[in-house]
Amino acid sequence: MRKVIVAITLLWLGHLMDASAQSLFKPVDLNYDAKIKLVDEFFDRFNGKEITPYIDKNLADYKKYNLLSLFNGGMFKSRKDPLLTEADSLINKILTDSISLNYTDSVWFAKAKCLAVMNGKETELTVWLNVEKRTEDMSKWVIARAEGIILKMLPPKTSHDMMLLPNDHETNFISLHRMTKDTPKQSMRFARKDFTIDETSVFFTLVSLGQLKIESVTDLQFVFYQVPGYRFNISYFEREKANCGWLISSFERITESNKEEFISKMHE
Amino acid sequence: MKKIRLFYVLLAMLIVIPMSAQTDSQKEEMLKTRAKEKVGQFCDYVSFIASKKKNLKTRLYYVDKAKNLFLNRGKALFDEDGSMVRDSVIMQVTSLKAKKPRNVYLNKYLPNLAQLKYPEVEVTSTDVAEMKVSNLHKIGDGLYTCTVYFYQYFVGKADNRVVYKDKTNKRVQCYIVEEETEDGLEYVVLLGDIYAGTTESF
Repeated sequence: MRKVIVAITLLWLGHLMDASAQSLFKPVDLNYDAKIKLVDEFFDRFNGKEITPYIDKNLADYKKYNLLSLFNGGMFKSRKDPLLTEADSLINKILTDSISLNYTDSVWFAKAKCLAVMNGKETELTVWLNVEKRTEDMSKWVIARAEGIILKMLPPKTSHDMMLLPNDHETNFISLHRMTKDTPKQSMRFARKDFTIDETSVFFTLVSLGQLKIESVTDLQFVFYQVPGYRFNISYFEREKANCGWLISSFERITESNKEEFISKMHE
Repeated sequence: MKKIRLFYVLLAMLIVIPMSAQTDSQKEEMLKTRAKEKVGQFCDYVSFIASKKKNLKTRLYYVDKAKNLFLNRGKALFDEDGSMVRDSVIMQVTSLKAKKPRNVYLNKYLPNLAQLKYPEVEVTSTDVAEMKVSNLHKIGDGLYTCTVYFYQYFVGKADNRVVYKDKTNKRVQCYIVEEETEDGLEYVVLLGDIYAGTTESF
């Protein structure tokens, strides 16, 4: 009998210690289960493989509520907000067309805003990435596009008009040497007028020459084009609410031609 | 003699069959659990290294043990010709004052953790069972990667009073290597870079 009392006392003490330790150093996070912690988890909830914990699966419209829980609630001002009606249309489209998201889809992209340093000066860049198949069962992220002021190679505004002279052909274009040596920052002034710069190629060139370094990713979004007639973005929301983690931060109706144009620009 | 041989064959089958009979999803779940356990092990080391209850020599011993959980013990990897393939493992750090993550090499982070200025330090993390794991991605023959998400809670105390506390969500890159052994397939989990998300008080 004494042994039983001791065992119960120890169990109770253990329970108390555990509880006090939790309350002091590891608070119970009631939102942890509801939070969409990883992008993969967003996919699982979108595809209905996982249901947001506070949604009752017995409800007739639980799939609809589950999809609604993937939106950043902060974007809706009230229940009568027209944006909520738009969100409802998007949800209906997802359900009626049985849309699902797959990691290997070629129509979703990462948009990483980066803080970079070039020649000691900080600059901002946007790097677009997409998933590319390596083999049947292996994939990787690849850089689809890079954008940024620094990549446009714009000549300084203060520079004078510069050009190769009309008679430079008579001097074996010795001025080409002068252009690259004396005024390299103005080099774009020597290009034909309809020449357009490929920012992504400039990005890779500067990186490979060691002149451009990405310090950090300051903002990350994922853009999805799987739903016919729509585009939506997800961003990470850290807050003490059940509606947190990776959530739909914006969405819009988009024509199929605009969608095709964007996607082909990413894959060109 | 034949009976003994048969016994060993049956024993070997018992060991190997459960592994080979696993479906892909069972295998994936098993590997994800292994990854979580490895991250949990690292969190335990971090808690131990930061705690001032043990002497510094003991804590530095665990710094060395913790490095074993990482790719190439956290050190940079080089090609045969000496060019770098991958720099040392990065452990991003943040605080309530400096929320922008700072990249610190693991080999510097761990000894620093053992010598924090607070007289008492308590670091705890999300329970292993509660950690969230991403899908498993194959990146080579017998080589996989996944990400483990958890919260780290930091408390600095002086004179038994809490003087600083924060919680940060962390995401760990995990590499899973499949190795063929005499006993069948075995899996080794090695940790990589650790990303720090937002830091806030709790």
